[in-house]
Amino acid sequence: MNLSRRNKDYLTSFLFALPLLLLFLIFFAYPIIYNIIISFYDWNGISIEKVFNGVANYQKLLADPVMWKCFWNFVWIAVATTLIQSALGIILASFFMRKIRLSGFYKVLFYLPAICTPTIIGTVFSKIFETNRGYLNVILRTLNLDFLCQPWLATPKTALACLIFVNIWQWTGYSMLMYYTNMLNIPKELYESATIDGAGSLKQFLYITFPLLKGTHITLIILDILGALKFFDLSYVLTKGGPAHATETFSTYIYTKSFNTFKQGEASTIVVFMFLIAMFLTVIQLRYYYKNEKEEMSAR
Amino acid sequence: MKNSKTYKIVTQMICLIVLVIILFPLCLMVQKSLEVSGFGNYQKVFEYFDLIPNVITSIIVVGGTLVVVAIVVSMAAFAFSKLHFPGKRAVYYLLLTGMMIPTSALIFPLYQIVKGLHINNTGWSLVFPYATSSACFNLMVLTNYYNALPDELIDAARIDGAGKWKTFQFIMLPIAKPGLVFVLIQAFLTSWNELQMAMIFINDPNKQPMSVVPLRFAQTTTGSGFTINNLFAACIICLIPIAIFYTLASRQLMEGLTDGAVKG
Repeated sequence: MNLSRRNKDYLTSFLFALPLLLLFLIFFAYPIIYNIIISFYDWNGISIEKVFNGVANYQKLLADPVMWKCFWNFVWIAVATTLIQSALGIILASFFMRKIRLSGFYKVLFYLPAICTPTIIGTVFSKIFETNRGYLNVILRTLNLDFLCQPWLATPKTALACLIFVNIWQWTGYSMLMYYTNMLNIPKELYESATIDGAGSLKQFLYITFPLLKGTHITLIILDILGALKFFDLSYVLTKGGPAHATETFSTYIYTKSFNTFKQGEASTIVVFMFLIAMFLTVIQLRYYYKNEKEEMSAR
Repeated sequence: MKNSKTYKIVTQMICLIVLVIILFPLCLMVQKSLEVSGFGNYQKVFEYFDLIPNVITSIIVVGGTLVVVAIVVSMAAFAFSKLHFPGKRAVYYLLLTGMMIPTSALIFPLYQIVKGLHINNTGWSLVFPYATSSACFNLMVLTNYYNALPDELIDAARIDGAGKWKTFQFIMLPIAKPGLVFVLIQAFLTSWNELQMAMIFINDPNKQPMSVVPLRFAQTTTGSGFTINNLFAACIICLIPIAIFYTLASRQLMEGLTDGAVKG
């Protein structure tokens, strides 16, 4: 093949990837760059004039207690969701691997919340957690557990816990299916020889299943942390970020700054913070994929 | 390995507890939506709201997204799996970062574009942003799927004189269909359920897609004849399309998730 023919070959190959690359550049790369630039300006998002003010937005946000509240809420949501959801997911998946009765039925129903519209889920749970006639408090009262009744969404501490609960309620089915899928890929022979060596089922789980699911653990941890970083829908529908910013997240705070208080410069600065966290996670994830790919190549 | 009797009982009990927690809110919704005046609750929802324009917006958004995703992601996955060009790895990893980008980072700049093009308050404003994020999110899944298909197929097609486009259209695409179906089911769910971008790009309540509409129901209950039973009936109505979809697609979704198309 001569040079020009090879170039033409490369060009036609590249054309297959071009549409997605163009969409990425217009709808993802451009907004990020736009936000980075605006983060150095004082701008209400509407008027034609913007005032350059250097790193003032950054200084202001680093000193803003609400911003730190968003950060710690992100950490709490990420840690709680990752731990509880993964633990539940892997336990349920291991049941289904042992083919307990009704496995198929449970799998379909446990995944059900993951497909439901978040605004509807939020609406239902807002009626469950409501203080006076909320169904949770009604149930507690009928069980004579009045002392446990709470204004669930109106108390800062319980409000965040409620949101985390709903989030786990919605996404446990997803973790469960991911673990199940990847458990199916573990070769059966490993378990057979372990049984011959006299290893019980708990030992098999700890020494075969758990370590071999490393890739799944990492994927799910990254996805859960990312979900905590993006967290918006439930907070917006259930608590609007309140009471007193107790459930404020980066996304709800950006929304308020952009569309309620018209401080676009500051909103863009929060975007840059979020973006940096997301990129940090991306680097970890891509490095893992890349290493995996190389190992697969050398294994061939 | 045979399961012992204790194992069977304990696992069933755990599954039942989880099942009750999962189903409680959903059953509550159904039960309350029928309380007091039965199906009359549902009738009243239609007296208060004309949901047809909202459904139309949702159909435009989801339909448009699926078409764009199908074309763009299957072509890109084919290129990254079976074709060669300089910088291929770099472009692939760049596109994979797309799945990490939060919606909040996109909304304001894209809203400016959408307003500039005068397509805000239409479903079209959401099609391309949704398609881009679904395509980036599912690119790896589909590329892995293509990787599992033998290279000999392409070589054979080339010897028979088929160009890249023909090979893609008539050989690769039909074989990769199960992988693509899985991707499209995911794209359907995310684009049907998305709230954050939808409620900002389309701020006319009569045109908002079905993912935003429930917010209106909750606001209506305060101080009008629209009771909590009507509210739950309205929520059920909004869930019906997705329930039908899940019934039809759940087998393919489960198979897609469990046949190794998705690798963690």
